[in-house]
Amino acid sequence: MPSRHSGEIAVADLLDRALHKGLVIWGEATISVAGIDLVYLGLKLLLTSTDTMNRMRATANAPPDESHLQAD
Amino acid sequence: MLYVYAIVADHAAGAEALLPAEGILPGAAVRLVPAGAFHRQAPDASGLSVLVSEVPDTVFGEEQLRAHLGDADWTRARILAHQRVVSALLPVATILPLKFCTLFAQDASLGAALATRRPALGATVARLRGAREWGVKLFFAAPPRSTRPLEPVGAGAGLAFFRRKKEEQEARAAAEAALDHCVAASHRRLAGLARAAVANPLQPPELHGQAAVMALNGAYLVAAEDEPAWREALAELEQAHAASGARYVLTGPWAPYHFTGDGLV
Repeated sequence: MPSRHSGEIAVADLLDRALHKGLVIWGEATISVAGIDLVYLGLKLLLTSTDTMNRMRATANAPPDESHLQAD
Repeated sequence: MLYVYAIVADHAAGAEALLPAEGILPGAAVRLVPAGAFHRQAPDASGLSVLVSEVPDTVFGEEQLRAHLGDADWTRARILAHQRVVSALLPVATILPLKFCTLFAQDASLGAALATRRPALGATVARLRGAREWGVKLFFAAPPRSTRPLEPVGAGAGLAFFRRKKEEQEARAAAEAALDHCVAASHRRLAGLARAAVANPLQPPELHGQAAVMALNGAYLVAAEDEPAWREALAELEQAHAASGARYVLTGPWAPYHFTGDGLV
């Protein structure tokens, strides 16, 4: 029987999406999104520490529903 | 200043009721505002709206933001808050999620940015309308360590060693070829039933946290009417490749983060 690790996978997916994807609209007064890019790499490492993952998972009923196709 | 979560189209009146009480910061109300409201000179009949919160520049000013982003607790809470807002209207609208921490100094600059991109935004909405984004990850069990008994000694030992070495190499090559085939076939099948698809860079183990090797990290934009067939294909793939140790993990539905960006940077 496969074990369920759906929480971690959903958190990883959320980070990948919110930090790296999404529409970029570039207005004259947009705060430099490019500058923020520089922060992302360190941020991602910081956020994916086990402790952070656990706490994020605990607060994250928010990542959308997800399911394993594997039967439990 | 304005924190902008997403551009919204096709929503019915009263969609605001689904929005969370708080946005990116505690106490920051989330508003769903017609795009035209930000640009009085250019009337907007596009039907687009924007999800925004008013935020203080003492928090989201460029320097202050940079400092805050170094604080994992703070950032984690903001990412979750961003996600809650972006996904709130997913069931009732077409959503163009913006990148985390998209900020405008004034209403007018947001209005101008939207106005100049109106045709591109309209095309993007048309591309996304009626479809949802799903994530599929394919994992393979990490290859087990060889538990081979001690090498035989005596006559023929050298020959046996080389023969076994060769067999091992062949088995490994065959396993790799089978894995490559499974990955390519899976993505092709799922992409074929999707409106758009992308194979992302594989996540490192520190990020996905699985005791298995990630072999595919796909995102698929699937039209509502094709969803049953797409799910069926996924189930078939899982059955077909279960024996070779493949495990498929589905996440979603997501706002279409992977399918909004073309030509708008």
